[in-house]
Amino acid sequence: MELFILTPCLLIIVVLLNNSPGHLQQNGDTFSKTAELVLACQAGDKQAFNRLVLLYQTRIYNLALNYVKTPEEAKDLAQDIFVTAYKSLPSLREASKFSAWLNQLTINHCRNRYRKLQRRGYFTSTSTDDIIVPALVSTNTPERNLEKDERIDMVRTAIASMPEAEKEIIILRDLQDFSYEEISETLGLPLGTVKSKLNRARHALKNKIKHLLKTP
Amino acid sequence: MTDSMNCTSAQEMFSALADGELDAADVVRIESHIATCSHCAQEWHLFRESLAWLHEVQPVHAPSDLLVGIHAKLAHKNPITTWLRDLFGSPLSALSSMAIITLALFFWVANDTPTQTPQGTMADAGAFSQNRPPATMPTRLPARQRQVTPTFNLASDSWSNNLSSTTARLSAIPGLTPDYSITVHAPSPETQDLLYQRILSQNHWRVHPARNGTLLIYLDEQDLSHLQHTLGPHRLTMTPQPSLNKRNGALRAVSLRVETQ
Repeated sequence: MELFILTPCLLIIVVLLNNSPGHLQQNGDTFSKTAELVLACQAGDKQAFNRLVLLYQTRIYNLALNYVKTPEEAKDLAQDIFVTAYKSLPSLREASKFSAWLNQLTINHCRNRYRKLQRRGYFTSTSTDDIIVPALVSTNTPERNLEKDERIDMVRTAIASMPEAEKEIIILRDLQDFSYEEISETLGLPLGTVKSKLNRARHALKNKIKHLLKTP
Repeated sequence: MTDSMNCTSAQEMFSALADGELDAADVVRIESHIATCSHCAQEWHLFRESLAWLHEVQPVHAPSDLLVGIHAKLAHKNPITTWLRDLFGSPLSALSSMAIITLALFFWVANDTPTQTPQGTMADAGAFSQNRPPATMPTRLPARQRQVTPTFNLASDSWSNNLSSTTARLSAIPGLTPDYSITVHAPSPETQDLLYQRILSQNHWRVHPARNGTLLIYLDEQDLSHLQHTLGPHRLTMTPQPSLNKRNGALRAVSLRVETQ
């Protein structure tokens, strides 16, 4: 009797799981969509390029913002990245590798801009108070938001004061949600090195904000 | 069970433990070490706490005029090279031709300078050359001048004025044509304003003001029904009708206009 009840239930669950718009399925769609857009763009379709920008702009802008701190500079940097991408796109041989290719392009641009600004003393004269960045989703009360904003400011300041290599790996993994494999591919480092560098960088961050954290 | 791990090797595995990257045996080893070592227990607590702080940093919206700025930069940097490329065929010959033209212009400016500046000092020559049209590619404006911030105030009468400046920039985007076109028929100007505000206050899509009160909305195809729901019971015309087989992750551009009857 129980078997008669359980079997249809299991079947329904399996069907629902197969049809649900899960993370992987969505990623798959975005992935195939990107490849289509890249091919169209390479064939001269400007609308395809616009769509690629709209698809990747949040990711690229946020990555830039984590390097250069101010929204104005991040916007300029993100635009330069897409301009370079547009000009270099004809040389991309495999459309399916667009995302990794764009990541590398972005990191190179960010590193160059960061070093250029650092040489000019840009970061020493810029306070974290200048950063006004509205979050994508805000569901908390104003008081909780204020506390959270303060924590975020402190974290951003701590990250900004880290050496470049440590900062980079924290940004990619913890702020941009890259997988270990993506970081390895983007930075050209073996997987084991990525793991050990990430551990060191996270410990360094913990030590920087240790005095602000609650002890058990 | 004996503790087969020292503090250094335990702390080297914190990151992998936090990311769920350790195998079951290593998890047992490190957890049993943490359970017996108060120093590592505290370090592990602080490690997790700092990661929690770190993960509170959320992504932010890209500026609404990012795409417009990209096209402005492409248009700004390209005209001479494009013209030379069209004229001479290959990028290499275009570059060398540009170098020749730049040199020719330099000599022309250099020869012309004394007649315009009787004193003939270097400073005067510099000042004079600044008043001439640029001989080579125009220099890039400082970042602050390049910043364009669209203003968007639905409540004020300057709505159409604000739109017109933004429209000029948006119309500069080549090849931007919407997938869907929606016209909503609002019973009154108040309702029209309310609908615009509802659309703008949503996080499900990105909105760019376009010409004559039209909004360009970028959304995932699955959010089309949400957009229709936001518009309420008002009569609307939509062309073409959305596909029944919606693709998640498929980005769509919608042109939307609210008209008063």
